[in-house]
Amino acid sequence: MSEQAMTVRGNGAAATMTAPRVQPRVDVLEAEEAWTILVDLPGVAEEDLELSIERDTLTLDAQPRLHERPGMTLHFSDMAPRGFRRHFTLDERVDRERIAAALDGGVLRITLPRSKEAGPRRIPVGRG
Amino acid sequence: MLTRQLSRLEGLLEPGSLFGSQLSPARELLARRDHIAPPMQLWSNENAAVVTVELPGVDPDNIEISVEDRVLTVTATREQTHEDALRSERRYGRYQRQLRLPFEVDLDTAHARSVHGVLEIQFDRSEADRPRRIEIVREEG
Repeated sequence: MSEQAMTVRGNGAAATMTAPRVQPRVDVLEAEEAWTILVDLPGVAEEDLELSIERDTLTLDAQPRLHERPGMTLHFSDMAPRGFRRHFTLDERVDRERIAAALDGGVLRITLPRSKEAGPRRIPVGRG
Repeated sequence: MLTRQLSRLEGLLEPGSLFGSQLSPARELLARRDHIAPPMQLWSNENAAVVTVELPGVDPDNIEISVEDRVLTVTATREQTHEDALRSERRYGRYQRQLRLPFEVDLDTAHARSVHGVLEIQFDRSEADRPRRIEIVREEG
């Protein structure tokens, strides 16, 4: 895990809550050029999602609208009315300027490119 | 292992008891714990019903929906598209959920779509099984 460029943390104590927030499930992948975080956010549209970065902390906050259906009555639900919040701590190997995110089918894909300076360097080995 | 534990926990939320009917096929499946039970909702009004199921990242081609004896079954497969994750919390494999509908639905009217990773199945309620307003006759006196 020493290769991990980011630490995945729980909810911040100082978080102000408008609705109960739970941590969404994530997968973190590593490739040569970037790390990728895949976040399950069922029911979340672009306008329901906020992604922000402050110093080393990337924060995701989302409030899906699963509990509104005008003209209908809810008979049964085990989808708790809740939002999603998660913090990720980035280290210096992530290029803050090139972080990108895309939402598709309830899954957010956050791309964290490696900064050029911190990329893996090839050390030439000479013949003896 | 974690997946199995979560699946068991969610199994406890199976709605069968709410409608006073035993969901024995569902219970059997849950007892096998070989699938994930995603959260769901049932909405209705006089004319229609909507069932929603959380299936983020599931290809609609890998979702199957069936209704038999008022029991709606949604089965889905979520394929893992990557190996060697640094962290892996998302759940892959077989998803299944069953719900006994508290009224008859007209299967010919069923249509389904996936909205932001939530499956929405919509039906018209059967004509014969809709709530009817009973008019009260005012007696002239």
